[in-house]
Amino acid sequence: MVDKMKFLTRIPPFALPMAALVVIGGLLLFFESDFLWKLQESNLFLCSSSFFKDQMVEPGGLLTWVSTWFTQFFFHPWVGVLLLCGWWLLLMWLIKSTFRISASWMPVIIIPVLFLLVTIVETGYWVYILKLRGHAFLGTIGTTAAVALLWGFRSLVDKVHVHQTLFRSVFILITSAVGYPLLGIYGVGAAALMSVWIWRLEPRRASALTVCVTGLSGAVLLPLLFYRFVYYQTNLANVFAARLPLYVVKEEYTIYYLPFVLLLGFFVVMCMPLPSSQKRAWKAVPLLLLLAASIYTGHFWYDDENFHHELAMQRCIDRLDWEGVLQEAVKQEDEPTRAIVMMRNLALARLGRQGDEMYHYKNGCKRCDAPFDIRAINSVGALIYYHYGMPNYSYRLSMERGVEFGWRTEQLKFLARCSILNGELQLARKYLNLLRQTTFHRSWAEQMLELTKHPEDVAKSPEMEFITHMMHYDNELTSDHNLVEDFLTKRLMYSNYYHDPIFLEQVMYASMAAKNSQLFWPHFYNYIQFYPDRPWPVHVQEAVYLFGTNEGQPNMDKCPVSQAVKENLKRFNMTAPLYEGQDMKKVREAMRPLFGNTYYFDYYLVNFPSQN
Amino acid sequence: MKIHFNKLSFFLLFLFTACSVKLPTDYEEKDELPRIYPDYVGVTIPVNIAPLTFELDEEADGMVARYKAGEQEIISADKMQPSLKEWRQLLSQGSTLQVDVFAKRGDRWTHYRPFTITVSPDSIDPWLSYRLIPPSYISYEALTINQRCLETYEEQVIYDNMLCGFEVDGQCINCHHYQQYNPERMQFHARQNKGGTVIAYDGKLKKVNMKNDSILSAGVYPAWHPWMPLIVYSTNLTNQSFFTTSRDKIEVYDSQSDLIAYDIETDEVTNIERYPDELEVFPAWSPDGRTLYFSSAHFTHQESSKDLTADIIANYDSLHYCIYRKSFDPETKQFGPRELVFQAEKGSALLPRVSPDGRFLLFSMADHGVFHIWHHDADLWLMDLQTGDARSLDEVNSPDTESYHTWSSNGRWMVFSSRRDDGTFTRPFFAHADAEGHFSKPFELPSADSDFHRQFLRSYNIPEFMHGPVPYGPHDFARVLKGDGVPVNYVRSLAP
Repeated sequence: MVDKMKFLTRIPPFALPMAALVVIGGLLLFFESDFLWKLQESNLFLCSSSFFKDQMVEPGGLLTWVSTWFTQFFFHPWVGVLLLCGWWLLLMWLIKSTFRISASWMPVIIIPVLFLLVTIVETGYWVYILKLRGHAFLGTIGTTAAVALLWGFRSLVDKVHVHQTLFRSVFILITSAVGYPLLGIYGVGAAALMSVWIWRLEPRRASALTVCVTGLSGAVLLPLLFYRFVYYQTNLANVFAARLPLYVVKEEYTIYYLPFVLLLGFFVVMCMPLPSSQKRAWKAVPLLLLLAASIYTGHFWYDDENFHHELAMQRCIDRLDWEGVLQEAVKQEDEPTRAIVMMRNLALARLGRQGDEMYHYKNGCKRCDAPFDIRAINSVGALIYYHYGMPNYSYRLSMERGVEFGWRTEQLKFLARCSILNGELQLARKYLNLLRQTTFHRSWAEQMLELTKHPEDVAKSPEMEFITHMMHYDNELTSDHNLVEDFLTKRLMYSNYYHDPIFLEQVMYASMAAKNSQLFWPHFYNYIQFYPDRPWPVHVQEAVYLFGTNEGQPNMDKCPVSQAVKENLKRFNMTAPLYEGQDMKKVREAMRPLFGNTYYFDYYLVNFPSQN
Repeated sequence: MKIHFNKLSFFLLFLFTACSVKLPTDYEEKDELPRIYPDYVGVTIPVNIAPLTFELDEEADGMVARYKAGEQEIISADKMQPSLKEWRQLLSQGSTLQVDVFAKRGDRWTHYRPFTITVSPDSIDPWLSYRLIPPSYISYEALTINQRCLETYEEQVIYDNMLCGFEVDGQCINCHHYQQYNPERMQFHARQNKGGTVIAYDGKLKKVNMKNDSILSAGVYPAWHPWMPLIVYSTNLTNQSFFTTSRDKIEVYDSQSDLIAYDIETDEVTNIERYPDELEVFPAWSPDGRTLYFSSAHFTHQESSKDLTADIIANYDSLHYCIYRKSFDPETKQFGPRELVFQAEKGSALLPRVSPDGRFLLFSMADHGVFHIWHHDADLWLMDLQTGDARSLDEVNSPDTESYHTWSSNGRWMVFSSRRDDGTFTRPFFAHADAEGHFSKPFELPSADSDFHRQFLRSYNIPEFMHGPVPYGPHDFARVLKGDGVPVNYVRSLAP
């Protein structure tokens, strides 16, 4: 027992926080690698003076600028995680030094890191619409800067022994006056905490009261003065939330602010005297607090399966790893969202396997697990339009989203790609030259710039070749009404262009998806002209046999449809009456094991509402 | 210590010699004009314009350029960026600037064929205002109306919509306009949250709620009478749809539109053009205030059609606007009947603007439609009102969009919006006009950094000249907008 105690005392006090960081970093990399990659795609840092100036027009601009710089490192998630953990290590060390945390209370310094972790991992579908650049690092760097200011305040209290009240009051005012424009609410928060902390640091009540009143007045009034005389781009409602994420769609989702409230609460408590945990009753408190914070973190860690599949697929598509998309589709357990289905079908199309495999994967139209209405158009609209050869709509969507939610790397990339496809080369150069100012997308931009110099190579590029085959839509003046899949399907199935087999194949699949045999037949006949000697894809055979049989077309038995396809339809037609009158959902589940991978199943039993 | 000072002076001397740029002495001549951005080759500029900065627009390892006028010269490396003082001294030397550009590739220098920039003694109005807006289609977020001193690079925000808009309660701002270039008489509209028309009039600000059951919509495109407290607006029911493949990605159209007149002092409003088969838009006054110009398209909705918008969408390319005018009697405030001024054989003529001397009518033309900023084929046209002859301004137009335009107060300059740089982001261009209606090659608004507009992700919308800066700040306008708007009173006639 004595040896064990000696061993425990030999453990350095920072071992637990270090171990916690290793665990957190490992969890982030293991579970959230795609999400972290998406964070940097949703981020933008440009190495230019105009980008810096753009950030500085709002309070906390410097904090945003620094945070966006760090966020870009999630391009390689492990580098970003390493940097984030480095910041968290610094934060914990600052908390320990500033508040002079004793060894027995060391576990509590991990708690703010957990709250900051929650601000990142609770994000979920907000990643598509959150109007805060550098979000992943912003809270951490802002909090670290605030604690560093508190550390400075403590040093002032410790070392300056003349005109103490005056110096402390001036220090707090400077903290607000300089902190607000540079750090936003984190600078003001530091000043407010100093105003609370002074009651612990200063035994003279009158002096503490003076410093506290000065500090709180400055923390309230200075941001208002900045609002009135300096910043035009900040609404009064946002003055005291500058550099906090805004979880607002049509209404505000206050639960997402909880980690920020808890973070503030933690520091308010730290500014008050901590009981000594030498007393037996208090010994377990730090560990219990850490345990509670860990449970809270685990509870709010967003772990929706579809969300993660969507991100993984987007990442694969960005790398043109079409097999990777299908490998992700195979892992699907839950009912997929339409975004997943669309990306999977895109991958199959790119691999030339859609006609044989598109019904071999889980189908569905599950709503995104978000408290607000988010659809495929918000998450993958620009991507889908681009890859299906509609650069106008992809461009428009990327532009709209860039304007509404702030310019992001992924939008600039789509804007550049669409401009190249549209032959708007000077416009493409504009976006590509901006992307050349990034650290990790520079080489991609330079490759694309080569395409703008040699537009004849566009149709040969691995990424764009397929897309150029898809650019045969009729020109219509219309609107997608935020329904990307429905809109694309209709544009395809009503298309009259039949000179490109790749486009024609998609036209045929669109009429199959719409279950419209009248449109299917002409597209099908045009399609087989291109491949007179090749067997028809299995699902096309199913459609031909199903439509032909239903319409009573003669000689269907002589039609070159495999015996297995014919037998399958016969079995389907014999099985279906057994479930007559039953709930469609139950019928679907019962028949899925037998017929789930056929067009018949989709034709008769799947009917998704037009919400995507 | 002495040694340190010596080191310092050597270092400073080195720095000084290193920083003073010299023209290359060993180079080969190339009988081609250099490609520079912005394109200032052979342009005419006003004597009071801010320094022209430029950079080489082709691949090279370095550039040295020289402005030379009389005995004065400015030599810059990499980017031509004269200081304001140097520039003023240079422009005081004469009416022509000679420009030499040298490009370095490897260790060899090339000297391009020199070109000149003509300095016109005709000055330009010192301030320009515009709305900065991303070229988006439906969404908007942060919008500002800014003013820029054309003699320097100074830029100020007149109003920022974020002061009155927050998240779902967003606010759109548009159509800033002045009475005769007077920054103390200004108006703009705010839509959605805290919406209304803000009017600054000789030291007073007011917000007007122009919605009224007797008119089609609140006022949209304004035309302030040259001296009377009277603004004519078009009222428009505007929609937009999107092309699946056309290079013009969007079509903006009115399903209905009329013209109204609003009296600033009495807050009375009346219809002055209200025909169900006519789509009237873009009013503009003649400088004498006795004629109102506007564009109008004839469009008959199908009787069976319940959806006017669908009707327009189906026939969007048959919407051809002509330019009309109406006489106006300032004494009685009565308008005469419409009279055709210009009808294109095939095309849509919009945004009539009469020159301050009353002789020329400037307008924009494209194949069809009402919103030419989104039409790549839109060009500027000029009509001589004395002869009735109209021509495309080929010396000004580019293969891409030219649209919103206005005359300077002395009539010697024109500012217009062009998308010639990249087809999407609108930039203001200026061109000199002589008394006979001949224009010089236009030049782009100078920026402190020549690359600024290539990096800037917003468009300049509605460039308007002003005699000076607007004397109100963003918060002054925000305070007015947060209050209630003065309701308008509909009258059959504005006659006293």
